[in-house]
Amino acid sequence: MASATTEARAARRGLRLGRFGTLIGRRFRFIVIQLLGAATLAFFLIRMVPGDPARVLAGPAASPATLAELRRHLGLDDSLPVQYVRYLGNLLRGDLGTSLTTGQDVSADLWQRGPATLELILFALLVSMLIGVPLGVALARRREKRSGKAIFGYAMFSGSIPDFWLALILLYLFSFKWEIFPPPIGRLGFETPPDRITGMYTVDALVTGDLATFWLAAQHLALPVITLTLVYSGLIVKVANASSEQAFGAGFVDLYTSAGVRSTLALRRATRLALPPVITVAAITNGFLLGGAVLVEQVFAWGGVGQYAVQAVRGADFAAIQGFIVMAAFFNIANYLIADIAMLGVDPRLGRTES
Amino acid sequence: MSALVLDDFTVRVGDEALLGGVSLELAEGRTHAVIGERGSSKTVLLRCLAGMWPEGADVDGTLRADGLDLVSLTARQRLAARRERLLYLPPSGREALNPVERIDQHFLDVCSVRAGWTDSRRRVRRESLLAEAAAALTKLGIADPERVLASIPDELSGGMRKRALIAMALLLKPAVLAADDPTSGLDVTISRQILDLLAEMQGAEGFTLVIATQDLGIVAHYASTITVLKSGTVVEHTDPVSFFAHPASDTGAAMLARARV
Amino acid sequence: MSRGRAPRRGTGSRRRARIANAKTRWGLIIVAVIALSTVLAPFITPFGPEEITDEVLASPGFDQFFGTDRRAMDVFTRTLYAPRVDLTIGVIATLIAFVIGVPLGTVAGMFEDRGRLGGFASQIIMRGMDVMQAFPVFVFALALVAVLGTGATNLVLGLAFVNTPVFVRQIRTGVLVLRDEAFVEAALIAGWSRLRIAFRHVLPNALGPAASLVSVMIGFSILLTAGLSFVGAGVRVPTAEWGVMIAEGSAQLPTGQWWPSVFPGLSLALTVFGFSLLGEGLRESPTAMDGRRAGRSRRWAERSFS
Repeated sequence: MASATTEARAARRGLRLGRFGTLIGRRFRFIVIQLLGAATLAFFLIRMVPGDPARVLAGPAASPATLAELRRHLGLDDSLPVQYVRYLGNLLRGDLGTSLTTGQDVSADLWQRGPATLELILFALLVSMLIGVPLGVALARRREKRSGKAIFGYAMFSGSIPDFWLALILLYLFSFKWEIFPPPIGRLGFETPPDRITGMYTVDALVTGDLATFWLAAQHLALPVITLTLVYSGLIVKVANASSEQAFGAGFVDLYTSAGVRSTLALRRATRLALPPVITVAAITNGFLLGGAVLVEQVFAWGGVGQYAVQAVRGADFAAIQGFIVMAAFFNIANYLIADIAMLGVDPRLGRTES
Repeated sequence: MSALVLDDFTVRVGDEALLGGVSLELAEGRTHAVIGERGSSKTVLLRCLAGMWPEGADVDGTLRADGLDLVSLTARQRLAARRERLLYLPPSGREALNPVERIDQHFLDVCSVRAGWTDSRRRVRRESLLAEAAAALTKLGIADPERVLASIPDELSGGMRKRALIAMALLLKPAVLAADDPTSGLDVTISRQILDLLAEMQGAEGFTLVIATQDLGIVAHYASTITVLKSGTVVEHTDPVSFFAHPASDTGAAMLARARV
Repeated sequence: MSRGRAPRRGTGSRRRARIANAKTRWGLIIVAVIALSTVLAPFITPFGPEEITDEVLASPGFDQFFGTDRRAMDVFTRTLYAPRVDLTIGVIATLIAFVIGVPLGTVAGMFEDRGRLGGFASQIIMRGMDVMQAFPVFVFALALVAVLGTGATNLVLGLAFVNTPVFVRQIRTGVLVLRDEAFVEAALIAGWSRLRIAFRHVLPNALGPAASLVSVMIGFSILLTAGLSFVGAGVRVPTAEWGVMIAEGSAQLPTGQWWPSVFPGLSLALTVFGFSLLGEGLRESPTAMDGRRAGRSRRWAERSFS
């Protein structure tokens, strides 16, 4: 009996792993289509620009010789399908073309600036979750109280605040007026950044044990992160509130209470039930944060990919724009993939009832 | 001896009286049926028997369950009192189970408060407890209890989920079991099987069973007393023989007339 | 923790309805006040939106409530006039997205896994939406405007494009639920074509929730418009537009003149808030129009087939 049981369990586990695998497999197929679609859309988007693509890419100041050279270099004399295939090939090799404004490879530009934006977004997401989730959960029990109403009101209003405007207000108050935080000149002011390991200054400074630099980087990060948190945590509060309210009121909590189970254990089980919507909203927020970062970076002269993109738009630097949006789409897709995988771990319904 | 004694037991939420002055004595080791139309506060009464007051309720009067004066206890004390003594069993397996945990986890969690459970012996306990759970499920007519234990609620049928709930009650062995509509959604054969099993267990363990139901067939077969509720008050409390011969209350008569059609 | 749950007595839903109605009411009031004030702006303020007044960077006072900016334009006047640009762009862009998104979503929902050609069309539409939504919204809008060129018209087109997937999805979800209803089955048996049923009987029932989304998306589009204008990818200086005004005014923050950028931002936030309140209120309202519409179509089905 015992061995038969073990066998049955093993078989069952194998089956589950199989379903898990197909689920991931299906997800990956979907992602490949999405990536390809995003790359394709970016390709045709840039070709929607009226006029000669070579002139568009090289800028209005280019000489006819340069244009001809560029046209040959880009293969613009070839047919569109040939160009498209070549574009995809280049993309696979990480070649995004050359930026008009910096004169460098777009991929090199993005690689250089990426960590700045990533640091900003990740910290903003982290702080938003750390504040938003407990707040939403706490609210589930005090909707009627005044403090609950105030927080809920803010959560509703926060999404309507223009992030770039809030950044300016905070800057004016905390930097210009009260001089609590450093002025908006990038990530470290005029200090030398730490050696690049991840490119995120706070992380690199910590890894190399340079606490002074870490402190400085954190001070510079504070205002942009606070800005993004104030605007984007509202959504997290709302979702965490709704999902925990539902989980705490779930029937099984009632059953556990009836059996006299410790409330801490019931809460722990409810947490798992409340997690999936929170994971989803984290992924969505991360996408929003990239958009928000474009604007907020502008205000703080952050020097990340967001500011690079704005510069590219102003300078009609289309290779850079194309590179940036392809990167943004890839970031977003990766983001959802991570959320999906996390979700599979949390919610067994996903792996099983599919058939 | 009476396992449950209610004297002028009143539950109000705001201006609304959910239970208005209920006085009852229910004997130990017997099965008692509570019947009534929808909205007659059957569920409220059963939950109260396990010391689970409705949210924000004012509770008055006396309610002694298994020798404990529940009304005088704090929420925390009532929670402790429920361990091994009282259990309210919800009607729906779909709602009462956690959709993201496996059935075996429910058994482990619910039984985690049983006496003799210690963290250091967790491993041993886990195995023996799951074996007990499997045995209980087998008794309830489930052919492959291992599969049921390894499933999440969504993978089971309504009948399976319900039987899993009842198996938990069997493992918990409360002194007072308040089962809310224990046969809803089950076909007649399984209903009978489950109630026979409960009756058999009752003979062995001597617990007191209170069931709320609309099914008068069950009442006739298993109950030793019948309580008819109407909007939170007891309109009739009698034994099955006299009830089926001459229901004294309008509600009882109406339910009986409907059952005969 | 031993609190039992009280049986439902309808107070929860009544409370929710009250909150929904309050949201709708306040949303409407805010939107109406903003819209009216911008329409009546010439009667409220003596200045023109791009009129140069006497003093550069005058602080807020009795003559000029919000002060003046560095070009000596009246900030109050410009704030009042700004919705003429932002609101118009937001509304038109959202309506275009709605008009494009609704039929696409109807087809996608009605034909999903139904028939070879229809199923294929549905697949194409939804995969297209997936691709569009792979881009973060603001990034996508920024790129579109960069390609199309700045200016109000291109802004409208870009925003409409970006907003379309939201409506497609919303309508598709609604249609997916409704297409299994008895009246659809009945109409199919009666020999109606799927397309005709979709637009005549399913779509009207799915429109209610999408209508509440229109309000939310208008607010969202306004926010995007201002953001794009702020980075110089939208409406051009010196148009009276919130994003432009905030960008212009930001140069004076280090020297302490906060008013040219603070007031337009407040007004922008309030407007967006009004639209999202209105949208949320409509969505949560139990008396939303979808219920009544569904009833009508079911009655129609009963009449026709009984």
